[in-house]
Amino acid sequence: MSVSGSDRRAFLDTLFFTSLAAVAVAVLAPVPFFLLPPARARVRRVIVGLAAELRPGTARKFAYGERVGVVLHDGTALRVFDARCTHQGCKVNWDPNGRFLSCPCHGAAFSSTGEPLRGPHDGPLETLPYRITASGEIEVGE
Amino acid sequence: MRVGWIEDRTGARQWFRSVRARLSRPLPLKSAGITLGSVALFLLFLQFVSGALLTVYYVPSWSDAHDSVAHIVTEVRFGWLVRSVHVWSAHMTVAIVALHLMRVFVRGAYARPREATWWCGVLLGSLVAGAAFTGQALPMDEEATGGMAVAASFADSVGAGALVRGGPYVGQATLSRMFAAHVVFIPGSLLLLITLHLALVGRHRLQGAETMEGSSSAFPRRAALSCSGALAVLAVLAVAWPAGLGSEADPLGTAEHVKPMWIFLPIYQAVKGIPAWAAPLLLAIPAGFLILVPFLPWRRPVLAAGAVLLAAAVALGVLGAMA
Repeated sequence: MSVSGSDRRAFLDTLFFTSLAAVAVAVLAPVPFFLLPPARARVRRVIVGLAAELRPGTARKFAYGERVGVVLHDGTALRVFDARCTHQGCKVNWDPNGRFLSCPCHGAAFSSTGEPLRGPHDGPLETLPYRITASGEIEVGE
Repeated sequence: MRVGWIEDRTGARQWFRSVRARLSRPLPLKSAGITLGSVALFLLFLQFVSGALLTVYYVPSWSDAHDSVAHIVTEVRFGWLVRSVHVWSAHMTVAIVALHLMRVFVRGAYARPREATWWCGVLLGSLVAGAAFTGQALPMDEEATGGMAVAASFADSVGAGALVRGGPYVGQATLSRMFAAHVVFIPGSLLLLITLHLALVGRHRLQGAETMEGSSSAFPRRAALSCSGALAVLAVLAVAWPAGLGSEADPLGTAEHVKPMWIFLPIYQAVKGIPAWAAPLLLAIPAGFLILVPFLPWRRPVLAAGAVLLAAAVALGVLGAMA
């Protein structure tokens, strides 16, 4: 069997473009992995302040790692939520007069128990676990 | 040194002549808005220059970004002007690109053989909108954090939230990504696609000019005139109404009454009334329509659909502005 010049050329072309594609894949493959951020250690607990200092009908925001939390006294109990609005992720604010949490972006409102009252939402606010320490401080986290 | 020496080594004169010859081909100059693309290109050039200058002082840090922009506008000499030019030319670019797109749409100039030019233009328009959006986040004023949260939420609906946020929550990593997109990825893509867009325009010429022959310097003059007009408008806006800087974003909250740039007001208003998972459809439906348009042979229904989309966007935008 004889191999002609054009056969050889075609074979070398195939070889060249296949290796080129392989190199391109090898070079580009790490990029999506690079762009997706690695998991980082989360903040587990944070002291928010003295429970006795939080008056009924008031609330306080706090940083919880990269999250923002809100602790409020609804008259009977303390409630602690992630302040992230379940609609589009803006941070809700406590309205001391209406005693509800409202989102400035698209107008959602949540009750003092985190339940959606009106406006666009995707379920209730996320509740954060907390405990009162021996010295009377509110400690948020697991 | 003789010009011939440079010519021998670079072919610059020959290249320049061929570009001039292309620009001097006769065009249907009576058609209104024929220089909108030229003006968009000119404004984007101003964006690149003013933006490059701003990177000298801007710091993409969650806690220092606002200070660095305040430093630019209050202390750096002519800093207020450079930022004002960047902000106002951004508004103008978005507006002119939108008008350019509408003109091409109404005239049906996206049809064969200019489909690729059209798709390239639609992509360019999306990149310009992306640049406007990401640029809005950089000063870390009260509107910035809300915008980043909403962008991440849109991305979440298609499973790409982490890609926008750079982590589980909106924070420094998100701002870094906005900065990288605004300063490197989007401008780089713009440069590549503008080159392609212009090459395609050169190949197919403008609609109505296919059979025109001869040579005329009317178009370059018209384009230069339009760009001068745009520059005059920009100068008045940038100097008379210097771009403001909102208060620094509260790290613990979203300020009351935050709103995005005017071009995003229709989406801002529409997301109030639909579930979060459906939000990306607000982008996908108009984008899909624009991409498919060259394949739709029915002229009148297509124009009607375009008019409906535009009317809906304007109505929602006005509602959003008043909300």
